Amino acid sequence: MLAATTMEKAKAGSTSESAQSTWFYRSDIDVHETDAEYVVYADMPGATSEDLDIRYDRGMLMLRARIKARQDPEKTSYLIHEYGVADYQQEFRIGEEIDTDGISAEFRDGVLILRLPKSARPRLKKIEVKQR
Amino acid sequence: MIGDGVRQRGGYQKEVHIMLTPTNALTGLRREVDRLFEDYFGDGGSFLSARRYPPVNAWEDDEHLYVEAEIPGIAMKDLEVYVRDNQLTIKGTRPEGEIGEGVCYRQERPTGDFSRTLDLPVEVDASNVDAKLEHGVLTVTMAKSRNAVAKRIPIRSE
Repeated sequence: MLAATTMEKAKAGSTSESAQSTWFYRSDIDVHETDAEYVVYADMPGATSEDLDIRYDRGMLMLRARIKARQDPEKTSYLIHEYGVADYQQEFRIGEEIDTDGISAEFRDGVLILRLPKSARPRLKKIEVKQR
Repeated sequence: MIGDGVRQRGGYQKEVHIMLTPTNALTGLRREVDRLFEDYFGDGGSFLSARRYPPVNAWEDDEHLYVEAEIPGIAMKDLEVYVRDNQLTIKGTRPEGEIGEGVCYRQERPTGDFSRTLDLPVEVDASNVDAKLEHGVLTVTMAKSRNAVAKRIPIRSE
């Protein structure tokens, strides 16, 4: 469901009015390519599928996740502070035609798995988004 | 990769356009192997030690000590959390991606075994520890030992 709705938004060209903090992080990502598709894995710990906003528009893939603070930074005195918590955002250019209707996304254990089928391949199977 | 713990979180970034260019997946794997040995033999384990995997945040309140770690892509069954001798150990395996017949263009996500041990700054009750893994975030809540909890002394006003 996630992929369908967010992709529709992207195709309609609308922009989300969500409050966007000035600071954000980029995810660690893996990108795999097979003959049929690109698969993007993006680590977004702390996000839920509702927090994700994924858009693909004319070769640009945009990944965004809104992350809620898990502690009140005003009231928490950290003994160790090795990472910060903020929204994730990054963009990629994909230099190949993508079958936008066939894009699917799955989010599990804080990892987004996004499948972008290449449009040159006919009769691609549409993969439903699994939410867990 | 795994172990260096320095997350690629550059802070303010705008319009990051990345062209996908092939990288050698084997180089990444080799680094993993080296890293594993280093972790196995070299973990200092100090509560304030240099960055290790997973990165953690820790804080406390009057009665509890909290340690949170971002470990995406792992199931609870692949994660072990121990409290022993007033040390917290977080241990597990991040699975390898399935590339199959394909090509790996980028590999930033750490994979493989990890283990990190933290010396806890206050005495905790090892029988009263709660660990929760939610959306790739591990939160360990440890109750402080009775003698570690600061007693608040009421002040009489006369």
